[in-house]
Amino acid sequence: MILFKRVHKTFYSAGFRSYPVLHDISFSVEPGEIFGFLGPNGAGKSTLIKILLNFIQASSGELFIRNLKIGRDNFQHLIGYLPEMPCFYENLTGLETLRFAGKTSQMKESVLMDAAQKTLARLKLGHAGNMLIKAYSKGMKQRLGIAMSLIHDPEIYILDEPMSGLDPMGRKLITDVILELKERGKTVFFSSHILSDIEKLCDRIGILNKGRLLYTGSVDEIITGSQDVETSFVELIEQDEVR
Amino acid sequence: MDKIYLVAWITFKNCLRHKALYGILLMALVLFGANIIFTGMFSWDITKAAVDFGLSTIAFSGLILIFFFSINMMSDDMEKKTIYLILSRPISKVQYILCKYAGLSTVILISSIVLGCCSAISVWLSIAMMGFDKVLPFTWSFFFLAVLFQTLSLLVMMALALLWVMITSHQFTAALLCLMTYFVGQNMENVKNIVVSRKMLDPDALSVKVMELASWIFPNLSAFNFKTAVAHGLEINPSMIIYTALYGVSYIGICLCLSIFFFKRKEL
Repeated sequence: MILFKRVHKTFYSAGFRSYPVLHDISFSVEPGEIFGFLGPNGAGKSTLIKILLNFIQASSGELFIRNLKIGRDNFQHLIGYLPEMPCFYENLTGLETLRFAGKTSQMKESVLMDAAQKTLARLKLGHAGNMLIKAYSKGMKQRLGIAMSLIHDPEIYILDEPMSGLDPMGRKLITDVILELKERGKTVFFSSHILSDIEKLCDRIGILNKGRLLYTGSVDEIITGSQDVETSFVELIEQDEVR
Repeated sequence: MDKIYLVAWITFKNCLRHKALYGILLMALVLFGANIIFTGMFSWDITKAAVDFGLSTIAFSGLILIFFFSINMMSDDMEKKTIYLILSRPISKVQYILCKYAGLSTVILISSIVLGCCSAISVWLSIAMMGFDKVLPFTWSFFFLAVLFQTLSLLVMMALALLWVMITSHQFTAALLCLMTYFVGQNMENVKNIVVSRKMLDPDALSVKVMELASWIFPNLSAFNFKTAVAHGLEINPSMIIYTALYGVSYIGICLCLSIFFFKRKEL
């Protein structure tokens, strides 16, 4: 469903100094799978997601979403995306924003408004549909970002830190939404720092440190011999730092 | 086409609900009021003073709209990453540039219509207060033609602002470069004419050649200025109107193509 093939990325500063940020990343996310992407700050998680969405280009390597090559083919109709810190046109209302999202994804007007109301209600934003986004709290904006990725019911969800900025109730809500997507056979690729959520939700995980992929596999495999994902994650990163 | 309309529409709607827009329009209304008072101080050339002040107010307000409003709106997309929510939908980078320009240009067009009408009222009131018998021959159709070309020059500046935002991604730098382009564009033709007509420099001198080159790169904004002709009731050559309009539209087209070129290579 999602395939990364030997992806490298190097940034260049104005003085032509090079900063390699991703080294030889190869892995795949299977259909219907929930794949959690872990790593400390600055590991390169968001950079990899930006390359996957064609916001930036890989220095080398190839990426595919359902056999569509990133950078060559149009794939956006297949995905729902949530950025790390979603920003909106603040003078629009939540409903107007969702209407825009649905219309750009070719949704028909007859089903769009109903879908928008239902999605807002599912994310506990039913009361705020006609409010300008500038009046939304940080958590409400995060939930609206999720609503934008859900509105057109895509096959694949790419969520960059979906739990960030949410209170425990908000995190529970998003966890439930992701579990619902799993039940419906959708593919979810998300990054997170919150290891308990990863443990609860993911079929498989990938661990990235300093731009190198240290581990891909099931959650069960990584916690063999350890107490939980957090302990295994810390051990893996520490071992890599020593190298 | 539908998608272009959708992004242009949300850009336009987002701008229309921005308080800063009404602040700028309010300032323009105050200036039109000042036009009536200011013109009353003149005992001759009333038409010239009223038309000059009225058209300058439109230009001034339009430039403030571009420098402090449109550039801010465009660079916010880059700096705050609002652009992610647009480009993660099935919208290409080419469509984004065209939509953004269309949405912001609609704001400029509507502002120009409102300001043009207010300016016409202020000019009419200024002349009426002094008596219609005391004014120079004056044609309203030429006045509105001058407003139209003033708007076209603002649309050229808007296209340039978009280009600078795409090159720099930074609000302050883009505004600074846009301001520089505006000053060069306003004065380039005059400086070139002075140098050539007074034979101040050898026509083959490097500085003259550089000036020739610059006059092709920077927009000749003085070409859109019909204020003097309107204020003095002079005839405007129809071929000049057509050439100026073509020049403006071509310049906008080139700027948009360059914006697309830079935006496609940009790492967001």
